Amino acid sequence: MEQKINKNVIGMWDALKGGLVLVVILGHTFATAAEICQVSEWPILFRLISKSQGVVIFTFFIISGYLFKPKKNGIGKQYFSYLRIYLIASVGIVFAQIIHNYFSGTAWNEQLGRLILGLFYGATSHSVLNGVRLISPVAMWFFLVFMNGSLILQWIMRLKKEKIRNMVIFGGVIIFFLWYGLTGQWGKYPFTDAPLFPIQTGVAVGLMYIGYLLKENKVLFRPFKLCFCLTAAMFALAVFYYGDMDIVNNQYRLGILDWAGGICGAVTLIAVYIRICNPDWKIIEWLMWLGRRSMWIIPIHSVETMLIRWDERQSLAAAGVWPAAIIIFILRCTIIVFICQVIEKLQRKIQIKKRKTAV
Amino acid sequence: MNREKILEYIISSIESMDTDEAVDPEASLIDDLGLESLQIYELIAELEAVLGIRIPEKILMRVDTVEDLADEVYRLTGEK
Repeated sequence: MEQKINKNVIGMWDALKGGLVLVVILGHTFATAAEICQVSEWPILFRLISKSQGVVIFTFFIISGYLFKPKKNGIGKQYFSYLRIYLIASVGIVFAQIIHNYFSGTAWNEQLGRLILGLFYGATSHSVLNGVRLISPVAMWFFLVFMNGSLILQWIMRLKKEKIRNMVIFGGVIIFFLWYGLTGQWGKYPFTDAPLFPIQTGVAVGLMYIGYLLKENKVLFRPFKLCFCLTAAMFALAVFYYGDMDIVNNQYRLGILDWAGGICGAVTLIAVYIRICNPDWKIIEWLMWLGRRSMWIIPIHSVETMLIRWDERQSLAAAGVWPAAIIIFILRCTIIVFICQVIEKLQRKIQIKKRKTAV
Repeated sequence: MNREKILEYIISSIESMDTDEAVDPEASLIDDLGLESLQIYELIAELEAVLGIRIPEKILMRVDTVEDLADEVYRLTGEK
């Protein structure tokens, strides 16, 4: 008899995270290639990947919630381990800006103040503070939202009654969408520009909590009813086609329907992945490598974008939009993998040194 | 290091990561202990440094519980 494979292992979840990270980088790459080549009509794959970014981010938060465990102790330590990565990456981004200024022949501190403000304020690409346009440090918003969202969820989980937890989390999300719909702010970028992404964090906490509930109720590994799956998938596809989700700018074309459709899409994606993928596949192993390092890859991706400024590489325009996208993607991935390996070597050295000191 | 010592080492390392309760060898790394990728990665790096072995990523495709991890690591020390 064939042995049943256990797919609820950390490697499988990391592989999915790795795949999602790749889609995010691919989305940024396509946008850059289209900008360099000044393409008015994006190729269909570019549009598809760009539009799927919302579902990808939703899936990432739901997986984080699935792997979430309420803790009584050590919440601060865990938060500071994330904060340390954020601060190291911020220093890297600031240095990347200085190096970029040096090679582009501008003053060393050009744009530096707006960038540092952007890092500590939590800026989107539309953020303005006292009339000063802030610089958005690429994907770092995600890191801040994840970090603060995890901390808030830990606090909320201390509420003993599940009903109250549900009210706090889902009530917050519903209030946001009511406010969003009733105040006539629909379509205004950004919807709110408060420091440190409070609304984005609230939405993310809701998604993480859904991931947590999926685990607690063992939903993902249960056999699904076909009609339920088809309805969820159809709803997700309809919302994907007619709606538009931009979690970083709090923009949802269909309001709360976008949010619900995004959740259906993300859960369907996870359920299909669990059923189809085999841990023995080589590609799963590669994706796992990326997924395990996703908390480093997101900041590294921000640093390499600030350093190289792919959108300024006009020489790539002559190659055409597809070759430009492929070249940028390959170079990007190579740089990210290289920096990851350097960090790992450093960590290993520190580990050995610590051990020697302890002995 | 024999299997029991490896298991003991892994348990003490996980306990030092601020888990709230005593770690059961049969506890699932995800469902029961709620370890994150970053923590598992740190644990693996620590085991590599202590045991002087390379632990390939793919073992995490077979590891669910603390015992599973100890078994895989013990197998690797035998292959060294």
